[in-house]
Amino acid sequence: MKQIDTIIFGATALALPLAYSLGERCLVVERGFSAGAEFVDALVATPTGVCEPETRLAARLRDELTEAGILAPDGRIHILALGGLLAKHYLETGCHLLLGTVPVSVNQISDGFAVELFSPEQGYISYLARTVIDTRVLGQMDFEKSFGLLLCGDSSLKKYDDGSAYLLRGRFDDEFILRLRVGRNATIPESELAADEYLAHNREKLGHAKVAGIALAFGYSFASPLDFTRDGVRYIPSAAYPDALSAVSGGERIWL
Amino acid sequence: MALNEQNQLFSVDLNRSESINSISSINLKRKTLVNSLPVESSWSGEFDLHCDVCVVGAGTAGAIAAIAAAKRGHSVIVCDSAPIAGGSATAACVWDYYYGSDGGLYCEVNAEADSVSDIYLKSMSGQPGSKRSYTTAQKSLALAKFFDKYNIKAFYSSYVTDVFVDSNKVCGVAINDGERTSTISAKVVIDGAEGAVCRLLGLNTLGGRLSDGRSARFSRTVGVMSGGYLLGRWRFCGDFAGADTEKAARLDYEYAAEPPCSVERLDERCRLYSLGYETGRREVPCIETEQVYLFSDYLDGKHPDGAIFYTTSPLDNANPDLWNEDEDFQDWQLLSDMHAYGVSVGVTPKMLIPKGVDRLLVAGKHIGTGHTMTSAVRMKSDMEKCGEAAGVIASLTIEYETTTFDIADTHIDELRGILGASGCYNPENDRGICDLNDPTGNTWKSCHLPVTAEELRESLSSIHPSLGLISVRLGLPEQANELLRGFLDEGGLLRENAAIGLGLLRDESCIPVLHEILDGGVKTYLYESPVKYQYPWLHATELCNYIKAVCLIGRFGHADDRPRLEKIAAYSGDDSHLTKAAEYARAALKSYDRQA
Repeated sequence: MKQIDTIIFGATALALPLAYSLGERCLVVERGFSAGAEFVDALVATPTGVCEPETRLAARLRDELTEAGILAPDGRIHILALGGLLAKHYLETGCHLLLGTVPVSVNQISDGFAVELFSPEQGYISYLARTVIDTRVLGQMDFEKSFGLLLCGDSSLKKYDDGSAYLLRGRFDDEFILRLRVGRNATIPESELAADEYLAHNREKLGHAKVAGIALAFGYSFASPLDFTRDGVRYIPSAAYPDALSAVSGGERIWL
Repeated sequence: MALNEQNQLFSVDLNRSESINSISSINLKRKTLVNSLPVESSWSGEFDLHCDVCVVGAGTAGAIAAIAAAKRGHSVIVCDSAPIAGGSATAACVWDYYYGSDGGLYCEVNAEADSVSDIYLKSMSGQPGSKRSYTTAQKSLALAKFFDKYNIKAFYSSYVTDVFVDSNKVCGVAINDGERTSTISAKVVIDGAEGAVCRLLGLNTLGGRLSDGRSARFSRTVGVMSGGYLLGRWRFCGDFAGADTEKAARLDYEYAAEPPCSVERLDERCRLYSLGYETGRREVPCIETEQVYLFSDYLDGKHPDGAIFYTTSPLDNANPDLWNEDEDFQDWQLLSDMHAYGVSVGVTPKMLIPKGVDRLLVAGKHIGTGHTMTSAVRMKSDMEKCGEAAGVIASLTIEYETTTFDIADTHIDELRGILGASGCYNPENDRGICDLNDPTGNTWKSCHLPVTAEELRESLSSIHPSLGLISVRLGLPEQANELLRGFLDEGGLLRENAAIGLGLLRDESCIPVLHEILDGGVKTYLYESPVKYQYPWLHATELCNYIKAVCLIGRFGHADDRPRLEKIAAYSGDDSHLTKAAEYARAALKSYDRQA
């Protein structure tokens, strides 16, 4: 059985500061293949300028995003371009990293945890860890879920919220994210069907804009950021933060 | 779907009267991997879910397999590690159809994708002169509609973790989404997940290329805009051969952090519209199936009986180091210069059945074709046909209450009838060797291969001797050795190309002329196709017999040629032809060293 100081579930924005802090003492386990999927894949592009980062890493990321033109001074962000930057930072942390890997079981033992992971290449892999931190959204949590569509082509659109869906502006003048509120158990394809239905009945609200892409993860809305411990595992879902830089700040404040 | 108090999902098979909450199992074996090693244990639990056909991996092939089986009235459950169905075509932003033969159930799905409302931004597909292409949103929505229509239950972001077997018969799988494990019993399991199920069973694979085990390079793709249409922009990455899981993860993030996935300075040109969820893999390890059909078999003139669909493609390997590829690929791509030609491959049911395992089918790039051949059968429309064929084989296995082996042995005609109705099986898709620069309708023109002395002379006298050379390699001209030796007495390109032909036949009478070619230095001739098609890299073929001669001299491996090869291998200048020749010389010298 392999040993590691800390296992973190989710290569999330919130986990990044901890990965920097722990370096090779931590193992980051990500189900997908992206970094910051809870914002990037989910097309959660809530303007970040409203949350002035107080912490060092968040400020550094903000500066890098601004210099690259990805983040505008008013906080609008080209969210798809954030993923590459987060991937680069994860590589710099020096942490151990497993992608396409899921946790199967976590059992508290006398001096830590026995953790079982599964990856298609290796099968089951067992670890002993002193600490386990879960930054994912789990089904038992209390949240509202939304599905994002990337729109483009009409800079005259205005933000709105009609109860079923809401429209937010992206980085470019004609870039918008339409977020459809969906049920807790909805899958992405089920959400696509619902979105198709919504679009058919609400075309006039979207002017000349067209759907350019779909989210490959859900956005989540929590009453407030969560941070609780159960059976020794600390749960801090990154997606509970409104935007990626807030999540990074939140992570830095927690760890440091 | 029925929901219990805990919000769990259980299947209700609408075709049957019983509502199934749990299926008792007889004593089964549970097979999985632990730390990369196959492990088996007894299992007598109860399955959470039941279906007729479980498709693991709802990718390019798997999604169509699911629809094909469901259309025939079977209950189908799919699972996929991605959040949507469609595989590379959706999740990895590989939107275009290029090469591949037409016809099949997938056309219905594409018709649905074509019909999405104009609020969806589309690709160039449908525009004159453009390749067919469907964005992630279009294709994913179309598949969602088909899954909904045929009541296909799908579990996304889930990995298959265990396989349940009764002797050599697969009975079900376990899947995990990172929070919960669910067990699914099935009458037939289709592995559309690049061999994930087969890997858990510890089945044999056919391996990468012989020199170093490598496979074809993967790509990272993003969606960008061009001229008002969306298109997928990709870049070659490396391959994962030899990389452990952590190293593979680092490689993934390295490429995610570089253009086109990442932007150094954002502007309209590099604006992103889609990100690939995962890398697009051109090749994965092929499974050893009941029938294995390698490209070397093709070159030796062997064609399997009982094909149920045909593929058409060039050998789209994309690796830049042909000198490290297997000899069968070198015979085609280097020695015969066949890069602008495609092959049609007939795929049989037995190429979809893992060797010795009943009630399991493979559908996707991992069917039994091996490293070189996989590059000729992996095109999107052909993999969709593969999925359809697997779905129908699964269906007949259940309907006849027999084994997959039996269906493969005794139901070819029925399979062809069913697959023929959709266009999946179409003997006209067997184009033989075809000219990819010359499409006729939606297919490519089959080439006439030179077989007579006059035809061979004409071909080998030209700066484009490809068809003559491949005809020789395929053993088509009668008494080819004698014919070619006769051509050695003549001059010019006929003499040189005849020597290359004899080299393809491993006839050492070519060696003196090969030496002459090397002594004469690099000469090149550029052939440009008179007919243009979509892909610019097919238009021109450069003939360089110097590089071919190095390759062949290396293969013959004569001791007195070693100093000549060492001199060629030592080249370190800027001439691209001499650089390439040096690579072939170095590769050949490795063989000398191994023999020593």
